[in-house]
Amino acid sequence: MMQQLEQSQILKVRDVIFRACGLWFNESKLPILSNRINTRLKESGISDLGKYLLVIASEDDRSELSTLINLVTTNETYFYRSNSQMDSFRKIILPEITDKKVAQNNRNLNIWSAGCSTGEEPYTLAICVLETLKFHSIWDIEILATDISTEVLARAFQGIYSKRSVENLPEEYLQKYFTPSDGNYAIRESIKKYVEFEYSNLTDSYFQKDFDIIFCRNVMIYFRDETKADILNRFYDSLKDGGYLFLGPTEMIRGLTDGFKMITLKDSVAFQKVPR
Amino acid sequence: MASGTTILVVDDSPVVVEAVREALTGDGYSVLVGTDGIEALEVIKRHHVDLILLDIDMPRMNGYQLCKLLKKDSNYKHIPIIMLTAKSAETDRIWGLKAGSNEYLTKPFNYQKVKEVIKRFL
Repeated sequence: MMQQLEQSQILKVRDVIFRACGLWFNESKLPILSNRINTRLKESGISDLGKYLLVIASEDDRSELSTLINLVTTNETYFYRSNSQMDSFRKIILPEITDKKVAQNNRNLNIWSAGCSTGEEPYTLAICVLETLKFHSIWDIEILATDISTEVLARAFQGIYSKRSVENLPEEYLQKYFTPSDGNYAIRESIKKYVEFEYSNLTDSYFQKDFDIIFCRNVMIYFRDETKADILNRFYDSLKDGGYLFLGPTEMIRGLTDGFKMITLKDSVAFQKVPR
Repeated sequence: MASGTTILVVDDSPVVVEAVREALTGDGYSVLVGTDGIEALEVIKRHHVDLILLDIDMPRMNGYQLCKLLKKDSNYKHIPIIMLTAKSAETDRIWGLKAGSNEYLTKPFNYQKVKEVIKRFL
């Protein structure tokens, strides 16, 4: 049975999480936080939230705090999530960028999946790239996939997915890019080799540069506006001129940065870096 | 044995840095300090370093990122890196080794153990 947690203590947990990694649970998201704390209390065998607070605030051992952060940030995800956005990426943005590169005799393509969770997004991007590029073997393709949780990164690196997770993928892609594995689907090495996984906290880790495209979908919903603005400006610095940023379908950047122009694609939007 | 050997301690906690520095200098090692990955990179470029004790969660550049960068660079990939961190989950350890660290120790640490591991790599 769910126990009723005291609001003031939930707020203290919220502050500990915020100080550790910048994730912020506003009023509307507090019930989610409360549910997940409840789950974690049951799993950890610590019944008292006051005692739990002492454990997660410990400077010496951050394992419980890491576990809690993993739990509160892990979202359900699947291949080809937000079909219309992925279609626009594959059919409009990717050809535009790669055609320009071919004209300049440049065959490097760098994409970053920020907040990649268990790997469905970066592997979907790799599949889209291979399906779009003619002669992809002569291209130097790199997809950086980062997350704040080593637990989800380890699962992403392993690359084994349930039937449900791949159900949006066309059957043809499933045959081409996965191997059946005990009722699940294992991503093939031919896709895996393009994706580099890395542990990174968006609020303070080092950002690499020169990306053509950044995907950061449904990650910044957990951040305060000032943190979002800071991350968006750092994304700006990490993108090449004219590069594109894809956010979650409901995420907007108005009032947070002046570095991007909103581009309306078929049924979705992308944000293009513009000179300042 | 320790004389003339330089160890770079990379950690954003002044308490940890001071405790490790005191213990290492007591054993005759020279100690350099970086408080995050970016600062550590600057130190490595300017000084000779024989071994690195590396924390993970730090501002600006985390320990996994620094480790990966150094292990890709032919000038520095030979330097042994021992991760010394409060991140104690099994997947944290796996990620540390995947990033190229030579050893992974968790806090709170026993200095005797740290010393044994350091000796193994020098």
